[in-house]
Amino acid sequence: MLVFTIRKFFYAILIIFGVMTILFLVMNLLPDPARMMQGQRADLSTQAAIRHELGLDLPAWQRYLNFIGKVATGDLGRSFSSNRPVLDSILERFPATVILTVSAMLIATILGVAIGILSAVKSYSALDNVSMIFALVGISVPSFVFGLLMVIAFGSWLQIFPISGYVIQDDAKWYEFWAYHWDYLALPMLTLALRPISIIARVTRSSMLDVLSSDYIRTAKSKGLSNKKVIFKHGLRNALNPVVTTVGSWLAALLTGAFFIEYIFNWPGVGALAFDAIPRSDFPTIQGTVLFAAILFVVINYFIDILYAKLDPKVKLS
Amino acid sequence: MALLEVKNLQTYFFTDDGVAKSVDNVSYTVDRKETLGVVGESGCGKSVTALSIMQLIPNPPGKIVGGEIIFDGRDLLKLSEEEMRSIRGNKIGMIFQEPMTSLNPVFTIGDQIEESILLHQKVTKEQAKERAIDMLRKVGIPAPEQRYAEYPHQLSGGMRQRIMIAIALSCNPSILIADEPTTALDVTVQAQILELISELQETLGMGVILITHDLGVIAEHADKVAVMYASHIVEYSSADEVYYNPLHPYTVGLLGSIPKLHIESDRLMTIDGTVPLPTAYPQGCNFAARCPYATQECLAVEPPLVEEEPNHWVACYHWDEVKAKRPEHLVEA
Amino acid sequence: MSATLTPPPQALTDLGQSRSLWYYSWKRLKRNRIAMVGFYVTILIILIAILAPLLAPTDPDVQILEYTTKQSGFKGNVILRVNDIPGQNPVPIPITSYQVSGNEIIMILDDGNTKKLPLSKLAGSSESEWHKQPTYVLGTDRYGRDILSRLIFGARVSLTVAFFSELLSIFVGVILGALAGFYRGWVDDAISWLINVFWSIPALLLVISISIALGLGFIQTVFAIGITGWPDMARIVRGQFFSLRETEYVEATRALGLGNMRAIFRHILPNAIGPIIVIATAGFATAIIYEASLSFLGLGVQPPTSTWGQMIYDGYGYIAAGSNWGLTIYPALAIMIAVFAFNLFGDGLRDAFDPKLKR
Repeated sequence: MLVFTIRKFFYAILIIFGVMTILFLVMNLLPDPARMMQGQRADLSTQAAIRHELGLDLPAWQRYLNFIGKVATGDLGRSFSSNRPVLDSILERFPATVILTVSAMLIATILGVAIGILSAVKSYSALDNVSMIFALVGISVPSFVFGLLMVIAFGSWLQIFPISGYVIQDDAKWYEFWAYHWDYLALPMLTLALRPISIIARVTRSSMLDVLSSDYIRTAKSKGLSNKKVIFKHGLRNALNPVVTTVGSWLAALLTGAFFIEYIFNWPGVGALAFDAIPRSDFPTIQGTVLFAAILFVVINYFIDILYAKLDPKVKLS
Repeated sequence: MALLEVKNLQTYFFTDDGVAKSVDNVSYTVDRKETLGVVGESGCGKSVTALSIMQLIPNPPGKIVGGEIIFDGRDLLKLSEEEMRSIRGNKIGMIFQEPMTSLNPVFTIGDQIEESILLHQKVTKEQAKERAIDMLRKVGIPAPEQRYAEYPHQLSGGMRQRIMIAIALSCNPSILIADEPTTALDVTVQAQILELISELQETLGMGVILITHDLGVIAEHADKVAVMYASHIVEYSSADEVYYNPLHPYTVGLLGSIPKLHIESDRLMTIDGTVPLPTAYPQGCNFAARCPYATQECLAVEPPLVEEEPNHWVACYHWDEVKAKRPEHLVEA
Repeated sequence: MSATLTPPPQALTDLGQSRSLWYYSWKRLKRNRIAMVGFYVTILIILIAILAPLLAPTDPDVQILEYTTKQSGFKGNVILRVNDIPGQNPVPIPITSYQVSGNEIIMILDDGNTKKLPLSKLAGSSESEWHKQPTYVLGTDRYGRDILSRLIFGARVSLTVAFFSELLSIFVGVILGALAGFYRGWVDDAISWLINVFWSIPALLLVISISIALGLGFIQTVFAIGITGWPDMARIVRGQFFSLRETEYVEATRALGLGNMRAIFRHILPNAIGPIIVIATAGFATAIIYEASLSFLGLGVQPPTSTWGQMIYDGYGYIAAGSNWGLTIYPALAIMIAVFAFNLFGDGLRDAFDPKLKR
C-alpha cells in the first residue's frame, strides 16, 4: 500500500511538472507583456525596465527554471490590474468556489442516483425514455447557455432568485452565509449540477441494467425473493460501484468547471477572478488561476485514487 | 399423478427480428426420485423450458403464450407472482450453468444460503445458520463453519457449484432443475457434482430435471430422456430405450457422432446442414432439411409426438425406417 | 458404409446472405428513432450552413442603425444604394416613403427629413431591385442587423470551426493513441503522461489561454480548440489498439508472418473506427460549445463575422434590462439544438456500433 501511495505521489508530481511546462509554453507565445502593460504610449526604456523586472530578458530556459521555482514557493506572480499577489486573491475566493461545488455535487448525486435507479428498473418505459432524453439534454446544453437561460427565466422573468453574487461582510461567520443567503446559491448551484446529474443518472442506469442482467440476480430471483429485495439488496450494492467512481472523479472536474458559471452569476469564486482578468489582459491572474486549478485537480485525484485503492484491493495491482 | 407435468408449453420471444418460437408444444413429466434428462444442442429450447417452469423468462421480450405446468395439483402458469415466489427456491430449486458468476460477490456464502431459508421458513437466525452449515456439509464442503463466512471469490468453480446446490436444496424442494450444471467445470469435478446430485436425490426424494448437451452425462444419470431439437421434443422415452433403440433420425445422428473406443471407424458420423433460426422455422418438420429419410409429407406437416412403441414417443413419420436402417454398431449393448 | 447421413436432394433453407458489420450497425441506427432525429437535424443544420447565402433573408453584416433592436416580425422599408466602395454590398437607406421624379428619387426618411438621389446611384435598374421591404422574422440586434440572417451565417462559423478543430484533434489523437496502444512500453508511458497532463488542465481555461496567447481569429481558434481535444480521442484509440492488438485475429496475422503495418491497417483500424466516430461526434459538439464560449468572451472569431457566441454576448446586456430576450435566447437555442442534435446522433451511433445491445 505504501509503495502504491509513493508511486502515485511521484507520478502526480510529474504531471504537475508537465502542466507547468505546458502553461509556460503557452504563456511564452504571448505578445510582449511589457508593451501590453504600458499600452500605446510605451517608450523603449520603460519597456526595457519592466521587462527586466519581470525577468523577460533572460534566456528561455532560465525563465523556465525561475518559473518553476516561483511556483514551488507559492509565488504565482502579481496581478497586472490589482498588483496583489495572485495566490492571495485565489485563496481569498476559494471557499466560495468550494461551497458552490460541494452543494452542486450533493444535489447531483442524490437526484442522479434516484433517477438512474428508477430508469433502470422501469427500463424502456415512458419514464425511462423521458429521463434519458432529459439526461442527454443535460449533458448537451453548454453550461453557460443554460446559465444564461436560467438567468433569464428565474432572474428576470419570474424573479424568484437573485442573479448576482453575494458580498461577505468581513466579520461574518461562514455558516451565517448559508442561513441568510442560500437563495444566491440556488441558481449557480442548479446550473452547475445539471451536467453531473445527467451523467450520474446515466451511469447509474447503465450500471443497474448491467447488474440486473447478471447471473447472480437470476440466482436471487430463483430463490423466490421479491423484486424489491432483488433490486435493492442484490442489485444496488453492486451497481453503485461505478457510480461512486464517477462521483469521485467528477468532484475535481466540477471544482474547476465551476469557473465559467461563477462568472455568469457573479459568484465571487476563483472562476470569476479568472474570467474577469480576460478583458483586462491580466495574464498573471489568468495563468495563476489555471495553474492553481490544474494543481488542485491533480491533488484531489491523487487522494481519490488512494482512497479507492484502500476500498478495493484489486485497484492496487493496476 | 406425476410430481411435475409440463403440457404443451409454448414460450415465444418477441424481438425486432421477428418472433422466436423457442419452445413450441413441449410436454414432459417428472416424478419423485426420478431424473429426467433433457438433451439437445444450444438453442433447442431446453433451458427456456426450464426457465418457463420457474417463470423466470425475461419479459420483454419473452412470454409464455400457451400450455400448462401442473405442479402439486396447481397450474403454475395461473398463479400470481406472489404465489409463484413461494414456490421458487422453496418447492422447486434451480441451479445454473455458470457457477463463477451466479453468486453475489458482495455477500458471504453463509448469507446467501441463509437468505433462502429465512425467506421461506419460519426459523430464527440461529437455526438458519445451523441449517446453512448443515447444507454445506451435505454438499461436501470441507470445514463448513469456516466457509460460511467466506466470499464467493475465495472458492473454486466446483465449490461454487456445490454452494449453488446447497442454496437450491436448502428448503427441501421436491424438484431440482439443473441447467447444464457441469458444462463450465472440469471433467473430474463434473463427475463429483453429478454424483452429489444423485445422492441428494436419493436422500431427499426429489425429482430432478437434468439439462445438458452432453450425452455421456445423460447416459450415466438419467432415468428418462427427452431429446429436443429446434423447439420440439423429438424423442421421449427411458434412457435405455433412447440409447439402445433410437427411433428419430436426429437421435441416431447424435449417438453416432460420439466416438466409441471399441468401434473402428475412419470418420465420425456427422449431420449435414445447420439448425434453422428460431424466427424462421419451416412449415413441416424442423429437421427435414437435414434428414435422409425426409419425404414430401415431412416438409408439409410437422410430425406430432406419438407413442410408437410402448412408453417410447417419437416425432417422426419414418421411425420404422430409421429403426431398420440405423447403423448396427450404434445399438450394440 | 457411408459415414455420414447423406442429405436429401432438396436445397437447404437459405439462412440469408451474410452482411458486413456496417450494414447491421446502420440497420440498428435506423431503428433508433431518436438518434435518427438527431441525424436529420444535423444534416439540416449542415445544409443551412452551406446554403447560407441563399437562405438568409438579408446580409448579416449590414447595419441599419435606425432599426436597432426591433421585435420579431418587424417590417422594414429600405432603398438600396450602390456602395461607394466597389465590390461591397449595397447600402440600405431606411425610409417611410419615396417618390420617383424624373432622374431622381425623393425619399422621406424615418426622422422626417428628405433625401434625394439620382437614379443611377440605386442598386439595380428595376424597382424591385432597389426597393426592399424585408421582414425581420426574429427581429434585429442593436446595430439593426437581422437576427435570423446572423443565425444562419453563424451556423457556418460554428460548424467550420468545429469541423476543422475536430479534424486536428482526430489527427493528433489517432496517431498518438495508436502509437501508445500498439507499441506500449515507454512510448505508451510518455503519451499517457501527456494525456494526463492535458486532462488535468480545465479544458475551457486551456482553450482560452491558448486563444489569448495565439491571438484572435479563425485559424488561431481552430488550433486552440483542436489542440485541447486530442486527449479524449487519443485515450479511446489507445484503448482500442491495446485490446485489439491482443485479439486472436491479429495474432493470426502475425503468425502468418505479415508485418505490423498490415495488422494495424487491415485489422485494428476498421474495428477502432466505430468508437473513433462516436468520440468525434461528441468532440464536434464540444467544439461548438468552446467556439461559442470563446466568442462570448470576446476571443475567438472576431466581428463582423457573426457567430452565435458573439450574438449572445451582444444580447447579454439586455437581460438585466429585462427586454429583448430574443437577442440572447435565439442564438442560445441555436447552440443548444445543434449540440443536442449532434449528441443524439453520436449516442445513437454508439448504440448502433456496440454489439452488446441492452434489449
